[in-house]
Amino acid sequence: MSGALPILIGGPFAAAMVSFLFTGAIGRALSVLLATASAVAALATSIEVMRSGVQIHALAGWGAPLGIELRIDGLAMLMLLLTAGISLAVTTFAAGYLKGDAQPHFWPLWYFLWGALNTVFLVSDIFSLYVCLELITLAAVGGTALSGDRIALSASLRYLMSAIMGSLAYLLGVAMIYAQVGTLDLTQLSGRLGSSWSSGAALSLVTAGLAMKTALFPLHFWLPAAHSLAPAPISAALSAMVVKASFYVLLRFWFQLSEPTSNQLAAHLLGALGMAAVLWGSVQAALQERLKLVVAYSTVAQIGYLFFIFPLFGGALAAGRSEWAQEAWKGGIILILAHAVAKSAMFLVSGALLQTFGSDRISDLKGAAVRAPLTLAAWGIAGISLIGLPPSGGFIAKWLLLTTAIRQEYWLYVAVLLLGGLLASVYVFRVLWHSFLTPEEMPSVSRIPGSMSISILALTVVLLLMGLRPAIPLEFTLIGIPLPAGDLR
Amino acid sequence: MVLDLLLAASLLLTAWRSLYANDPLQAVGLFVAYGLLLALAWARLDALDVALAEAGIGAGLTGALLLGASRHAADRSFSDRIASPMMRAFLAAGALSLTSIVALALWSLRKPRGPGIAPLVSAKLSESGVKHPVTSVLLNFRSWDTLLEIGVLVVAAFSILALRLARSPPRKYDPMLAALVRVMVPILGVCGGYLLWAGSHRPGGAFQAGALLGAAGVLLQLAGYDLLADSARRGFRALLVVGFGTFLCVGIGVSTLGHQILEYPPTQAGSLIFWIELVATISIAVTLNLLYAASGSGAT
Amino acid sequence: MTAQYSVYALAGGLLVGFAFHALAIHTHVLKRILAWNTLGSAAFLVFGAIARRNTGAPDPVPHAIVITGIVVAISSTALALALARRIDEENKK
Repeated sequence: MSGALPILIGGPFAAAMVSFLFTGAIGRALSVLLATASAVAALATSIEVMRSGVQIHALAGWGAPLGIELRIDGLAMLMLLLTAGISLAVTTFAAGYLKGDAQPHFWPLWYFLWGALNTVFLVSDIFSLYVCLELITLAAVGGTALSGDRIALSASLRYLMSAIMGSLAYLLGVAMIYAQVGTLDLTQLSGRLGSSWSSGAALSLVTAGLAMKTALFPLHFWLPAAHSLAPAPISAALSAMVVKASFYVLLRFWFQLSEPTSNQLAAHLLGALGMAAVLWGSVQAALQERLKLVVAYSTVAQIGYLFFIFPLFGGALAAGRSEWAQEAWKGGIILILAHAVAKSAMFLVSGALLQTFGSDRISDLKGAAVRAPLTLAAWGIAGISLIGLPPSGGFIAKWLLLTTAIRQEYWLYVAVLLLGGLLASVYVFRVLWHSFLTPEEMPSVSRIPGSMSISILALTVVLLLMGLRPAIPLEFTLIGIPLPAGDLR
Repeated sequence: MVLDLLLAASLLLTAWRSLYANDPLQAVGLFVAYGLLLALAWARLDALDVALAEAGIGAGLTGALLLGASRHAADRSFSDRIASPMMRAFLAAGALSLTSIVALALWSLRKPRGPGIAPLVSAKLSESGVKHPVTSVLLNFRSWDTLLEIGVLVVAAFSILALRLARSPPRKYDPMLAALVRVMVPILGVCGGYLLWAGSHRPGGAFQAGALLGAAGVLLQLAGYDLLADSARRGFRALLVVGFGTFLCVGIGVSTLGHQILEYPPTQAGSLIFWIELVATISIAVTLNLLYAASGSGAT
Repeated sequence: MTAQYSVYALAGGLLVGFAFHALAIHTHVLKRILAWNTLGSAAFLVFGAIARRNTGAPDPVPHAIVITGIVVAISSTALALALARRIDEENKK
């Protein structure tokens, strides 16, 4: 058992309590310390997973099925590291970005969101996952509403309603699974669900609910408003992490609970919705006038790619080629990571530009390349990853997905992967193009605090490193993944 | 059996009437009636803990929240429905197929495949520190869920406080109400204390007790106590988070003594659970009151 | 199987349909909040039926799950109502 685990879990929650009770400088410092300790503990836990494989922790000492277990395999470890890294960047950014009376309300919610994200990636119990996802939802909705104007509040309310509908569908599915197997533990459920009629119904409910929370087209209707109207640090966390949390749970259900080859039809349905999401989201992103809406619609598109993993993986297994399935799996996971880093960087860039120029209209960005060259450079690098060009994490991910799609001769997926990249370059370069235009008079700018620039810079460096040194995360994706196909273990 | 059928039929009827009522007050009133019928159903299902929680929180406090909101909802848009006939037919078909899928799946699951977790709970009950199975699951076997669930209440409170709602105008002094409050608050307090104590060996526990104490607080608010005015005070804030904080500290603290997270030493399990439940009850009651104050029900 | 299982599982299934329909077709906030609360309680009732499937003492695990669910439901309901109230305040400005 890892001694770092209690700190990893408790740190952000304790930080939330402290920042709620003590709003002064000491409280702020103490809460940052506690949260940073959690990030360090995530690193320590990861090292342990690297050294000795999957870590299992029986909460309250009982073990499954009576108690709840935490289980950290390679995927969970990568998600925990990602949460720690992005949360640190967001925390640093927010310290400079937030002004006035939003500050004391932001911190408790933000640390709670961070802590809740950790719990989803740790816990290996399908009902506990429901509670963790609800914890995330309420914190995320509260954070979105911090903007305080009428449109943002309505967007938060719609976000809350959609998320709850998704959760309830998930909960019904959980009830049926418990009725069928008599346990709630993910590991114990693996391989025991069978392919009966009721298990199909349960998995459909779970999938529909989680697709709603992940904002898969056409269930994405709530996302653009909520993600674009939240304060920039919250937007970054929403697009980078919160939608990934429910997608992560979906991955667990599909690859750990059910036999991926048995529901290839459903997998292609998810893939088709993913393709529609890529096209629809990218076109919408290219048409938006406001920077944050561009980024939000781009999230709709990028989520679409994630759903390619289901048909590509299942198709490879059905063809008996587990190495192709591995490519799909690795590609999907790296895409989660790369998109999270790129998207949080983009939202932070949007926030920085908003504060520099006092507007987030793309047409007001004329001259920005001269006035804020570093910020725009960060936008460009994040954009390169979204498009899927080297050297970036996005390139590695798309390359893997493309390779396996070509090998399996899924030409439609190949076409959408290529076309999506092209469309992404339209909305990425449109912003850059505007920033290089010469305005009639140079816009007046306000300087942004150094902490904001540092956090953006750190994210872009990580993104480039993922492209230059992809071997490290790629190796981890396979640690202890309990896939039903034995040869992947 | 006949009773169950009657109960199920009236559940469906009240739910239908509540969901499609054209008057907000009527809709909420029927929803509360539905909640109380549901509590009866839970009692029939031998789940007194759930019956208490449903009556107190599901029907009672949720009803109180909704009742306040229903007063502001009395506009024409209340019975608005999606207009497009195509869409309506599509949604009706969707609801019908959803019902059939759920019902058929549940019917195909009517024969238990195994004993489930229940025998394990009975086998380990004596080591859990309490004698009542549901409490042992909530506070020991699956205490992680309960910790996070108290966390959900805390986050709801944080989110609501972050909304910075305008305060309601003070209420007029009502001597009848004041008299009622003087009688009811101590009674509710004693009953809540009893439920908390009872939880260790029979139906009851922190959530049910918290709901009763919450109801006492709601009465105080009705009599003029302005909760939102206190929400910036550190003492109030401490009460709000003390349940979650204590639970978290105990859970993490035991892990430094060589145990797993949330693993109580068997000899101290009973008393640890008692203290956690006690502070949790306080926080639950305070939080439920905040939720009530924020719903606008206090406004006159 | 117990007879109670069939009765309450079926009632739960029907309530799911009612509530889903009401949630989808109505546009008013309060109506939708009522509908999701009903949907939630229907899911809980399904858990309750499952706990009663074996003869003998009921399974306490679903009961604990439902108590947790009820608390989660009131938390999100309260947040939704507070948001609605705040939107009202903004509209009146």
